[in-house]
Amino acid sequence: MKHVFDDQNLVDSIKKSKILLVGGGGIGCEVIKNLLLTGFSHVSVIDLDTIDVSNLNRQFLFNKSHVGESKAKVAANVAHKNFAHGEHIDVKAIHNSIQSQEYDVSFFKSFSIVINALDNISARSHVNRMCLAANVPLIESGSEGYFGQVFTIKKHVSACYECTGQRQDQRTFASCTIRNTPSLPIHCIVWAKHLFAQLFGEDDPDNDVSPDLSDAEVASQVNELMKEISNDKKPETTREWAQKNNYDPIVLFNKLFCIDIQYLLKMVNLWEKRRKPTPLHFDDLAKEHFTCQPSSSTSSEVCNGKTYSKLKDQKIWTIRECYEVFSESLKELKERFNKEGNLIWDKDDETALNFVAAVSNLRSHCFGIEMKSKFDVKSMAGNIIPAISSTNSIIGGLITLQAIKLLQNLKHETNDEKLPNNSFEDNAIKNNCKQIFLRKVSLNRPNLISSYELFDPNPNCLVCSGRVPEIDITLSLNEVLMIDFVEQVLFKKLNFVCPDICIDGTAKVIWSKDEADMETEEEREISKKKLMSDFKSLKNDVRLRVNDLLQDYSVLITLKDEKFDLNENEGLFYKIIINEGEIKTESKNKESTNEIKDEAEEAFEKTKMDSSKEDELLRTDQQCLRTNELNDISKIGEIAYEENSQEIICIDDEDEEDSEDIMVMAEYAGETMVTEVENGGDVETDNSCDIIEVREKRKVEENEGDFLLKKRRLD
Amino acid sequence: MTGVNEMLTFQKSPKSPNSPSNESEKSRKYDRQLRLWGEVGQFAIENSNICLINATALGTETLKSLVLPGLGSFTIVDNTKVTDEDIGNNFFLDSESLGKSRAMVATQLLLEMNSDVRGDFVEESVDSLLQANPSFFTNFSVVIATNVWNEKTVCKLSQLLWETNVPLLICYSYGFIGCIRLQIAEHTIIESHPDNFLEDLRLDKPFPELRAFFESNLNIENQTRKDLTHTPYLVLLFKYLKQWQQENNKADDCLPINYKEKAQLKALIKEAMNQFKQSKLWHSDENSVEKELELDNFEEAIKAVNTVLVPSNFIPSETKAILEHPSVSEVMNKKIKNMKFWLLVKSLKEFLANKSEGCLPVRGSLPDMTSDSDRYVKLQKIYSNKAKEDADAVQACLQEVCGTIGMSSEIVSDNTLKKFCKNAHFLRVHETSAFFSEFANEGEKSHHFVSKMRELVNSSDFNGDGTNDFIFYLMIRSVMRFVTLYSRFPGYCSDQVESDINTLKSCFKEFLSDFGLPPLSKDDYIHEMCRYGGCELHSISSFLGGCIAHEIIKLITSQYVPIKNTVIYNAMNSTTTTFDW
Repeated sequence: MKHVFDDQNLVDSIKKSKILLVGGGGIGCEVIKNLLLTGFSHVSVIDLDTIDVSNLNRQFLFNKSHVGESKAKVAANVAHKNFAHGEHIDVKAIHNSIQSQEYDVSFFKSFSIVINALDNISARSHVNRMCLAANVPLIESGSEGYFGQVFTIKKHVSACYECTGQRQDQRTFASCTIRNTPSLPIHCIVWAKHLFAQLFGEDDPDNDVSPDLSDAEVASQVNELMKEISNDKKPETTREWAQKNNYDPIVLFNKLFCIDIQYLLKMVNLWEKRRKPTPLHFDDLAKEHFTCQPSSSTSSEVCNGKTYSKLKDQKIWTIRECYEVFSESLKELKERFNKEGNLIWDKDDETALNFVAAVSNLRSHCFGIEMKSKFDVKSMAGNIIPAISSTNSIIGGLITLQAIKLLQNLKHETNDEKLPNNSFEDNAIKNNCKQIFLRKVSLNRPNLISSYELFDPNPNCLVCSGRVPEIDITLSLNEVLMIDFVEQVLFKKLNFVCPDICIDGTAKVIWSKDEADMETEEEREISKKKLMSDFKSLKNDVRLRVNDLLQDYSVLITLKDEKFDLNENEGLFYKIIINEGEIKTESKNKESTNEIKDEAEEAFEKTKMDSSKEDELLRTDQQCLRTNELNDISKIGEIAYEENSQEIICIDDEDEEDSEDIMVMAEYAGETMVTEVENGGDVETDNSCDIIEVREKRKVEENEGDFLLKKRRLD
Repeated sequence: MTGVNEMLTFQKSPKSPNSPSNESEKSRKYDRQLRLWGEVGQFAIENSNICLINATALGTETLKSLVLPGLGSFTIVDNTKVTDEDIGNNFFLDSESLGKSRAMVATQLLLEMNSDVRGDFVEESVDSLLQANPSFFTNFSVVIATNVWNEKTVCKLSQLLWETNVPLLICYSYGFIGCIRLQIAEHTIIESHPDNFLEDLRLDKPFPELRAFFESNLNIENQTRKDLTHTPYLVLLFKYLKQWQQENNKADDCLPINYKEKAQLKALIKEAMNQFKQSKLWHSDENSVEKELELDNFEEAIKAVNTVLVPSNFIPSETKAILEHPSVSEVMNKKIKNMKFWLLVKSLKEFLANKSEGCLPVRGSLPDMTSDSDRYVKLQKIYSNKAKEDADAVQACLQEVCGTIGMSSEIVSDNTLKKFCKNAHFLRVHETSAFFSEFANEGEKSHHFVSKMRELVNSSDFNGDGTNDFIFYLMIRSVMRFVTLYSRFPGYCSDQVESDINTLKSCFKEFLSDFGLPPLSKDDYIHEMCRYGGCELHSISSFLGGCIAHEIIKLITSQYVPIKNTVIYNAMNSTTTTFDW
């Protein structure tokens, strides 16, 4: 191998460099194998997960006998067994969360390269910050289905994971959407999971399932509706009520799918622009059309002359069947709850999954939403992403080659940023490491992978720009709970892991993760209920300094106390404004993108009219190609790393920003059009009558499209 | 997947039926991939058998990504013994296997990963097998040849599999360079999963049920506020299309075709929308508060002018070419490859000519739009019923077609027929050239290749910064020449590197002159190839193996479009380039 690399220094540094691999799953297994077969000897692999049967179709270091064991430990053991060909190798396994406080900046500094093989945004953001703080290069990666990507992050050299703005978890929904006005299967599934928690899980008032009167759209009616409620004495929790009725399936059924729906119908404002739901009464179940199979779910199919039976999980249940599953699973869960106490919902718990599948479908039925098979419900409820071995193999190979390239250019290994020779090294990294995407091969894109130069860091990045970013957060202090502010804004939105909050300029900490962790059960109950306004120093225009000691990361937040309309803000109770004055909420951007779209359409049409401008069309074609790639990437749900929009827009000329919309228009030339986006959970099942499925798909497309456009406009 | 293989798969004894518990464990194990290619895809994978020539790292990495998802069976052909070098770069050869049969050890270790897969090995060289038992190779769904460098062997293999229409992947992992060559005489794809597509909504020539629906909904002026805001945009589009046709003296089925006409139609809709907004009529509706009328559906209609108004008889160029393919008439006279597909195309052609006035079967899908459930569901039903009706008409054509040639139309399942009709706009026939045609500077087949090569050589700037990866194709061909002549890799022995450089140079020169190409001086690349000395880097093979497995899955499941011809991977620049000749 030495002669291939033609570089003794490189061969040596491969041997002695310490690599931290975060994640021992699909990509992780590949990377361990590749690193060791390339000559790396020191690898630490950290993973919190244990091995599940569904991992075995790609995580080849594991087999059936390992199910339930720590991924990191088994991977390290197998690696030692398989690769110790007389040479010393040192693979350390850590069965823990990378977000744990033990793994501080000095831990990260002890590695030459960190490799992310993760499956969630929060851990990715955290490792990103830790690597920036420790100034260790990070190779970030992800895969979904046939697609994937790899890129290198080096402080001040290339865009960091958060340079394109915070990645928002697409799977949080406004509570009024869930409780009052679901319009997608996922809304009903979330509701069903909440119901599970209400009935059997740990008590969580946030996940209420009853109609929500605080919905701004019904504000004008609240008084009237409240009167009705006050007639039945004191409101009780769903669980108290269910227990009082001994979890009687018929009583529960009628309350959930008939009485509550009728109640919702009284909120007439809600249905002004929406489809009205239809209450479903237990007595209706006997009706014929509730007992027959929808035509799409035939039980067997013929393929290549042979018949194979369709898995029963892929059938869509009839309403009657839904009720039966509901009733059975309710009974079983009740028994388990009485015996074991609080239950936790898990996608691999058959009964819990049955319950959610049945309940969500019944609710979908009431709201005229497409019903889903148990198989599909599982993937949506469990956030399941399709995954195959070949993609991981490709991505794993690319990661390892990036690691080699990094080492080749990291000859003057040092963590001291002040040394002048760093700019030389930085240049070398910039020139040699790539941002690589694996996509669908198509007419316009014949190549298997597309690689680009690493993108420049975004000078306005909230994380890697080197300054303490200032942001304004607008919310209603006397309506928002402190715990919500911390969990929804600081943890979920800004990806803090252990923040301390103090008033800027003072040393007094008004809230601290460490202290919160040490609270007793009672104290916790009390602090859970504290509104932000209960903290005396929190007022309009107060400046907070939020500092995460672990991540070595701070943000200055100016609080704006304002009455807040959830509905105008897609259900978020806060609005974030970056100090340059950009508004990072959805609605604002939607308008602007529509305008752009129209302009682009017209621009394209004009171009087309003038047939002499052939070369211009050609150029458009190339732009389309590129934006196609951008689009594809938006599909890669969790790894969704939209390329730095600023960068893209600047690459060719000012017309580039129109290209996406031009692409949409290119169809008129007769061949192509609107980007097809397959969402993560899209499954190729029986296609005989799936117009409804297409509908669902389109919805997701639109959402994702908006998401992408929004991202592109942000900078 | 090919005609021949289809029948072979058919004849194979079916697997013993799985017990229910087994079935459920399988569905759990394969859960994450079933979500990608579906049960039909999984079924195809479980019923395919693959031949791997040479258990190199590249070969075993490819098989790894096929064995894990539950490939039916594989057979490894390899007559070599495991060397230290193999152990160093191949995950499926451990230190205990030194000196043992490479085919045997790799088969054993690959099978350890998945008990559902059957595996076999043959300890013979490709050459002797080709000599003694060529039909051996034609029984597979796909054949993968890794690191087969001998020109004569590769030509013989490629010719054999070309004639029998067995897909062949010829793959090389050489230092920092990779090459994948797909050879397939004809591969038909129903589910091509196009990036972009047009909706199929027939607004210019609505079929009777659709027209009736539109007409019963046209009177939006007298609707309640609620009904107005919930009118599906297709109705609006139809309404104003009619108005536009009248105002401009256009025929009843005429669509706006250019920018100007579309702008006219858009303006019409916009004007109507503004009128509705200004009118006080809808503000006094029963339950509504004094709020501005929001007409999202009108906005949708304006946008859809550009995307939805497609002539009903529009046929994409690929589908058009397929309808004119010689196989469409040949299928009536004799047994040809991909029989089912061509019977379907023939039936489709009959359908177009006799039953639908040249319009492809209605796809039956409806995009999402602002609407009340009632009308949306009605529209959905109208389209899906029409799709079903069209599929039935195609089915009738199929019966007729099959009847004429004395076959039973049952060879095509209902499900396949429906899928075919639904995807009629997206059909693909994938053909590559024959690999062996790249080895002779004569004959018709080679002519295209040679002229393409000349074009590439002449247009390439090999010295500029934008390295043209075409040079690596030339290099790989030169190495093949070298190996054919000397039975070893250039630079393999460290003491012969210098002389090998000169020999490889002359191989390169000879290769160029064989094809009438101008001489090129590419010493740096020659040095590079000699420096690699045939060494295979694991990470490169892992990457390439994944790519090859991806292609094989596309071929076996007949979903998605495979690579066109030759792919060169340059790991130094992290680029892949596809060459089609």
